[in-house]
Amino acid sequence: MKWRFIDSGVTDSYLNLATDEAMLEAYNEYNLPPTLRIYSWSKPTLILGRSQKELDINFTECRNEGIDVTRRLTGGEAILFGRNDFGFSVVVSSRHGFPTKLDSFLKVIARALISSFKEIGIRAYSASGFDKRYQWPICLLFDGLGDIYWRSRKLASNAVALKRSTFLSQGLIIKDSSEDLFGLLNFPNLDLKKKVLKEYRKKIIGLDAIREGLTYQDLKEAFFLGFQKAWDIEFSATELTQKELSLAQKLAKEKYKNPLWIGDKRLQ
Amino acid sequence: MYPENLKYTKTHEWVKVEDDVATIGITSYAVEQLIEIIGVYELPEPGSQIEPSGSLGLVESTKASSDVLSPLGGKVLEVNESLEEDPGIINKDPYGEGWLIKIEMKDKSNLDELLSAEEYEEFLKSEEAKK
Repeated sequence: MKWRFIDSGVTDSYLNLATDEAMLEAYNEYNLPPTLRIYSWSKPTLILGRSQKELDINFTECRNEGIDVTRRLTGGEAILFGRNDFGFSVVVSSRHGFPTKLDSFLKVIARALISSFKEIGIRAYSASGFDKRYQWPICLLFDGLGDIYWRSRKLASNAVALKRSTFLSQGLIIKDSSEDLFGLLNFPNLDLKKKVLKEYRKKIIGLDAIREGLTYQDLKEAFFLGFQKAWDIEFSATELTQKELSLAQKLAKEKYKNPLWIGDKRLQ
Repeated sequence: MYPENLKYTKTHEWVKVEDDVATIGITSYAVEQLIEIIGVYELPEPGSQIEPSGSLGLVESTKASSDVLSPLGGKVLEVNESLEEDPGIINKDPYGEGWLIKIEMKDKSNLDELLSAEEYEEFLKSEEAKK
């Protein structure tokens, strides 16, 4: 089966999320082939989950630190993308033979990620289930079937949106397990913050701590080969369509930069 | 398996029609799709208008969100506020206590496009067969 492989490279925060939504809309509207897109970020960006409470976020501190803040279409809690982190998104549905249910879909995603890590000599495995409830405002601390581990520590995670029965998966490969996120969130008290930070240090690992020196290009090649092998598909390296680009630019400006969507009340 | 007194959409919403009022919810298949609903958000305000295929809310499970689309247009009469407190009601009783909104239908002609229980079940079988 032919898939699109799109390398967006270093991209503006708002445009990255807008591009994913544009791809999802275009897949449903114009009968496009399924897509794997990879990207990184031009600026560190804090991304809230679709329904996350804005009270979790210290907007003033984000601004002071020069961190972009926006909200994604997919579920879950906050995530901080650093400049070196590697992002990926997948758009597909049962129209192209993919599962219709979340658990089966995430197992399929996990298989491709494990296969991609194998390409760079890393033996990874996936989570065995889901956490049932969010307790803390940090996405990486919750386990989901699409999450990937190395020696009991989380290395990659993803969240999902479902629209008209089409899945959008937005994922992150952690390059450097920075703790900067903790300065950007509101915790009810210092003790809780310390407890969550301890859990974070125990649970999360960046790729740089496993194998130093891996570049964006290395990961791009690993994804290109790993996904094809895992799913028995053929990629065509291509660009977004003009309709997707136009919609992405419109969504970036009108939605993903909009304080009403993000929840930054002081700008509304 | 699916209640015969309801109508269905291919995006897994159900509709119960009583005179000019349509009650709308999501099917047990939609619940299974997301494994377990843990949040219901963005339900419209009573009194507002919704359009056919417009969003009527959002349901979430762990790390996943799904837009719920309105099969019909009309004026929102009531939303199920108890779902904010206890979204798990949808998991237990999607066709009863887990309803989402009630609308006064603007145009009943959209009802003709909805599926019967039997047609919905056939549609699901065809979706499964694609895998």
